[in-house]
Amino acid sequence: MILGEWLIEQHPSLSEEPEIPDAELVARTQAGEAEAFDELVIRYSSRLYGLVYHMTSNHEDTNDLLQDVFAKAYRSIRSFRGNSSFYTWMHSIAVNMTINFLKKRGRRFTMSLDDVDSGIQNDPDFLAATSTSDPLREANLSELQKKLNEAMQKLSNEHRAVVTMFDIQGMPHAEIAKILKTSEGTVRSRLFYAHRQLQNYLQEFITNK
Amino acid sequence: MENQEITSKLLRLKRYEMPPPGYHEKFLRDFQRRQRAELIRTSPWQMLWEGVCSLWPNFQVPRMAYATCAAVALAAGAWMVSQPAGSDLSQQTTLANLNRVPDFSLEPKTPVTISNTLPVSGGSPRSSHYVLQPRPASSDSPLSF
Repeated sequence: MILGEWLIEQHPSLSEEPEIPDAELVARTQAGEAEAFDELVIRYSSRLYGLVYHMTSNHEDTNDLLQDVFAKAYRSIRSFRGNSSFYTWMHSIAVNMTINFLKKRGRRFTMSLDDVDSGIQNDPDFLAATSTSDPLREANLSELQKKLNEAMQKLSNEHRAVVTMFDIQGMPHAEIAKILKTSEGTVRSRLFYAHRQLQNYLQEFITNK
Repeated sequence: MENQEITSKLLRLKRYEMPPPGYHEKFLRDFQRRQRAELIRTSPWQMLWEGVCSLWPNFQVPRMAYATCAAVALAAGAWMVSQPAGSDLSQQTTLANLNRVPDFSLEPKTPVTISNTLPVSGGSPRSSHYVLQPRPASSDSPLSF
C-alpha cells in the first residue's frame, strides 16, 4: 500500500481534500491565531489518543499525556519548519513523551481500559478469528481485551510503539521509521521480534482447531 | 506465517477500544482551559526561555553542563581562597604578626606615665553612690506631676 492510499484510508476526510490544509493551520497558529490550533487538536486528538492509549493501556494516563502532548506542540510550534509533515511531527512528540512517561511509570500500574465498541461483532477479522479458534469463541470480549492488553504490556516500550503504529493503527513502515527517526530495517526487525513475543503470550487464542 | 497473521488480526481488534462518547469535544474544552491557566501561571522569564528554545529547537542543555559549572565554581572558589588578601607588604606584615610569640609577662617593660593629663573636674574625686527615694515610684499617683 502506498502512503497516499494509506493516508486516505486512515483519514477519510483527506479523500475529499480538507477545507484547510494542515500547513495553513500551522502557519496561522505560528502567527498567533489560537483558534487555528484548536482545529488541529480536533483533527488529531482521536488518532493520537489511540496511539497513546494502546501504549499505556490506561485511559486516565492517556488523557493527561495527550493534554501534555498538545500543550508541548503548541508551545514549540514556532520551531516547526515543515521539514516533515505536521502529522509526523505530532506523532513524534506523542511517541517520545509516551515512552518517557512509561519509563518513569515502570512496571507497577493498573490497566484502565476503554469500552470495546459494539462494531467489533461485525468485523471480518473478529468473525474469522472466532470461527477458527475455539478459545477465542468461548472467551468473552472483555477477557479477550484484557489478554491483548496484558500481552502488549509485556513488550518493551519501543516494541509496543512499533506494534501500535503498524498493527493497530495500520501505518506503513516508512512512516513509522520517520516518526521514530530510525531506519525501515529497524522498524521491521522490531516488528518481527515483537510479533514472536506476542505469539507466545497469545498462544491460547492462536492455536487452530 | 499463519500464526503471525492471526496475531496481527487479533491486535487490529484493539482499534475497537474507544473512549466514551463526547470525549474528544470535552478534551478540547479541557485543553483550552488548561492553556488559559498556563498563560496566567507562566512567568515572563519562562516565556522568554521558551521563546529562545523555539528559535533553536535543537538546543539542549548538555548532559554534563551542571556538573561542569559546579566544578568550575569550586575551582574558582579554591583559587580565590588561595590568593593573598592584599599586597606583598601586607602579606609580610601579616605573616610577621602571625609568627611573633605574644608576650604574656606581667611586668611592664616601660613605665606608664600620666604626665600631660588633666583632671576632668576640679573637685575631689568621689566614689559614685546611689540615693534611694523616700517612697517607691509605684506609690505615686498617676495624676501627680
